[in-house]
Amino acid sequence: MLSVEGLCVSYGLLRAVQRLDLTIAAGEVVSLIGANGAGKSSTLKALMGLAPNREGKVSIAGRTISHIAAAQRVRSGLALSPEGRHVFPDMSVAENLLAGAAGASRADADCRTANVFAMFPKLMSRQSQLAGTMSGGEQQMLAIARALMSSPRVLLLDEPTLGLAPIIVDELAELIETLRAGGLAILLAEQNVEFALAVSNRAYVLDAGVLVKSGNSRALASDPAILAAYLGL
Amino acid sequence: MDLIAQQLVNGLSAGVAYALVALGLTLIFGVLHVINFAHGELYMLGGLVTVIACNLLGVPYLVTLVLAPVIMLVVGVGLDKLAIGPLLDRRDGLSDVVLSTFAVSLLLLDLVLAVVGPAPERVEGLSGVLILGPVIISHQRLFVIVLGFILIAGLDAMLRYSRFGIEMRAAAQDRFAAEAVGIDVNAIGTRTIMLGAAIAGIAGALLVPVTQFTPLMGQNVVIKAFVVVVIGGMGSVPGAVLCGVGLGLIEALVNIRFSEGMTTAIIYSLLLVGLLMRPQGLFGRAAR
Repeated sequence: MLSVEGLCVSYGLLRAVQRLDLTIAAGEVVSLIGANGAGKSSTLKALMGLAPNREGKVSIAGRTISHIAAAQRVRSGLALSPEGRHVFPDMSVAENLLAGAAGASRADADCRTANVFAMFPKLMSRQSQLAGTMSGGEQQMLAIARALMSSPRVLLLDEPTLGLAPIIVDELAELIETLRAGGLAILLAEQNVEFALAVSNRAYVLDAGVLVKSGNSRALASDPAILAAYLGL
Repeated sequence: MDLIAQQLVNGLSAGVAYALVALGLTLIFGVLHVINFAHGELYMLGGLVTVIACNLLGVPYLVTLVLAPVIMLVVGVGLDKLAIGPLLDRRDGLSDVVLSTFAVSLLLLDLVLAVVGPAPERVEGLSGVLILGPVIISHQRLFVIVLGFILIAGLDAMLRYSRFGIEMRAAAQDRFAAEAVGIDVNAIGTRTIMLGAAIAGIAGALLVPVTQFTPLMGQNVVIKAFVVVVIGGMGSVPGAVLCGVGLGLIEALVNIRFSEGMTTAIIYSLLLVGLLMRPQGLFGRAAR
């Protein structure tokens, strides 16, 4: 569903990501793991067209999207739930969701809102609440729900467990499994390695912007050399 | 007492003009974080369109209230494409835009001065007066107040309920997140400048029969609109409306006892006190 070839991201002289190749199929969860500064968030931003200096080829369902702006990438089926949630704090839950359906007709947006509320009943009961007044876990759910409002084929989740209580992390794992079972391709950038390897089918390990290992998540989770060398476990 | 009532009515119409001009400024600042120094000239051009349409072409005054904002929409696109949009992506884009919009302001002002001259021009608006006891309100002034508040209410509803309004607020609150969810923030920026220009244009068309047209009318109003935006809070719509109307009323009341120069001094004192005591403005968010 998503194919990336030779992705490079740089910030001035700093090369954040170097010649990264990866693929994700429909109904698959792939995690991108590594220490802080390994290039995980830069990769996701580059895939969305939001990193300033980037090279490489990005395709979604066979269509190359490397040359188009973020708004068109979203219309092509890519969606991002960013690190730090980035909900619109002075807008209600319903307005945040509507903002996530940019480009859709009002009828389509209403239909998608109904689907999202069915998946996140808590958000329905809070639809008039300002997003900035919600807890971290609720904001994370809203950020994911908002990303789903574009009806994506590939969902990019950037550090979704950051700052969340363990019980909310468990809920998040269930949600990821539900979305995967629905056929969504999910790329998860995550510092919480145990969580990432537990919820994903495959994983890519990044170190200083370079891909050092990839493979089945279970195999990587049981490889003490990898865990110790790159993931601090 | 009669004088106070009369001045309140006069101040209300001036306050509506300040609020409308400040609204455009604050919307542009909110979405693009750009201070548009050419905004006063957009107000002046709205007045100029009215003068040309009414006095030279014989167009009925009410028609110019549609014509002026439509023409200013086009001027807004030009302003964005020539002086704002291309500069914003640069490393020092925001400060470049301050200079470029200031240059556009001087260019437009000097161009209009060279072509039209500095003499004031009258435009016939709505005729007749309404007498309410001791207070005399010209129909035009009443029209400014009523239509001004209708425009403000309409704009508020647009920002709250329309897709454009929601996307505009999203871009203003978090540009990165807005881009990430697929909002075309550059297009939203262009449309915001067009909207700000159209509001300034209709404000100019509304006020010209009350104040007369002069090429300097934009400079006079925009300085007060800046005061309104700073005191109300940069990017705050309620701040622009309440402080704009409030400034018009305060100015009118102070004018009863003091000269115009003293009134101006009091307004700038308020600005200084506001900046010292509450730099984020009355309705703005404190920087985190």
